[in-house]
Amino acid sequence: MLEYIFSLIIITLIWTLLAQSYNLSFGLTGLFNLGHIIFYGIGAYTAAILNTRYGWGFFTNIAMGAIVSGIFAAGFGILTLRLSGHYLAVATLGAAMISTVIVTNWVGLTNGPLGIRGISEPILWGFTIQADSLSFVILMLGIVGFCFFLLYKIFHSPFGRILRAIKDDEIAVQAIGKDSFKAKIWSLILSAAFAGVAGVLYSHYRLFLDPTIFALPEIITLILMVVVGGRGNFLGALLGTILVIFIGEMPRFIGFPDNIIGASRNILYAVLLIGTMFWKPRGLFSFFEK
Amino acid sequence: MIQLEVKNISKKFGGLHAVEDFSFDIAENSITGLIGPNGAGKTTAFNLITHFLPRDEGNIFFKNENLKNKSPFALVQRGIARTFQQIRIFPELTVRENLLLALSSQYDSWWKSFLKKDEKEENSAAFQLLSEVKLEKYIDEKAKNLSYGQSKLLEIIRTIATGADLLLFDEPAAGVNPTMLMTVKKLIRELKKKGKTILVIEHNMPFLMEISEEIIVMENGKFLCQDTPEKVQKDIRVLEAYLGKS
Repeated sequence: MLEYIFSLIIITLIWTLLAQSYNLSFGLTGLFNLGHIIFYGIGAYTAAILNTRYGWGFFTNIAMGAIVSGIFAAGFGILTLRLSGHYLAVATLGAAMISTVIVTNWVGLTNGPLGIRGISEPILWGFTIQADSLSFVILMLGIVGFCFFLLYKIFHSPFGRILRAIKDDEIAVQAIGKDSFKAKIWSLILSAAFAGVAGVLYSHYRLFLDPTIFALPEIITLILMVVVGGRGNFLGALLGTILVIFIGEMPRFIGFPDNIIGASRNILYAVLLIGTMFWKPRGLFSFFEK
Repeated sequence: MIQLEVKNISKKFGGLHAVEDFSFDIAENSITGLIGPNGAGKTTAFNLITHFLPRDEGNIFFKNENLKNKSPFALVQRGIARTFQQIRIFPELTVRENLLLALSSQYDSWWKSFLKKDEKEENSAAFQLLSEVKLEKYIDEKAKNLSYGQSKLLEIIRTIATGADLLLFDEPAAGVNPTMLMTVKKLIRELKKKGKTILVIEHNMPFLMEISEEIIVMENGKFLCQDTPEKVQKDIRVLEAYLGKS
């Protein structure tokens, strides 16, 4: 039971980081990017490949995951961020689909559908930190907490103010002398770097990685977390993620049979999303907004 | 000394010549009005000057620099800022934040922004600007809660906050009550005293004739005349443009 609780906490922490990183580009800046899961996947695969092939450790991989995802986001942003609204959504969703195909078929690099096994657990001062242990929870809390601190600073900085203004009216941002395109690119790069870190954490926690990390349901869950919490709302996205994970685990708590847990979870998610859009379109936690 | 020189600019939308071979110039530290009947091409001309629309032909010089291939934000950094006919404030941001955005350009990069300590100077400048238009009590109100006239004033002072030397105001008096109109008038005159150059599109003729030193008239996308308000008001071509030929 304790292992299950630790596992739930760790997964929640990884998702909160991923959702908050998405909240930066989608929530704060208003970029309707449906390809955010690509950056998470890139971070995860960067860690898996560097660890299993070259023996790179957990902490180096955190930096590498952020850098590789950030670099990829820069190219991705230059290609897609001239688009906006639904056009951006379609283009980025297409990119997410293509990335799944690439990861599945580039067997030489990713080992294809069989995935990458044997990723090592984090080692700190010579001690291996076992997954689903209290030490792992504490390590995750430290890393995710630090990332949250950085994200909070970005959200509440003058740069964050420019991103919020872009969401309101991009033309008006240009009319006061701000390079809105550059700001959007940076928003995407920073957002991708934190998603990359979340991917690294996932790899070193699960110790196995396959292309399902890029799957469409993951994107939908991510959007759900941010929309339910409140787009651009820092605390809202955090609470939204916790709520979505809690609701997702409810069928298991209630004692539903294993074969209907997945389906009942999807029904609950749908009810939550429709309910939020209907009654609280600015998010269930919009009262935390300034 | 000439500050803005517009030379033969043209813009076509399909078969419609919105602006055709339009030229004029504006002296430094002057207030100039741009008038013309509805559809004359005034706002299109503003959009061309500020590069929110690409022009088909012609050149624009600001302080003798050709402004070719510059993006709208780069023009603001060079000293040309504008307001819009349809108000463009940031509704979800507070009044203070609307102004700080225009005031604190040194924090545009995220890493510099990350290291900033406070924005004392910018905050005090924001308060000062708001006091000039009597909006200081709304400083921490969300901009979407302001009335139409107050939003218009906010957009005007936000444009001033960019520090630009040439300010283009698109219908600053439209939908503004008489008290606020006085405030706008005073503000524009103060700007001139501070050395700014102002170009105003306006349909409120008494307002425009009172504040302007020169008036440029457009008709059907073309330049009609440029003269003092007194002479323009008596110009038969201008009367015909507005009222039709007898």
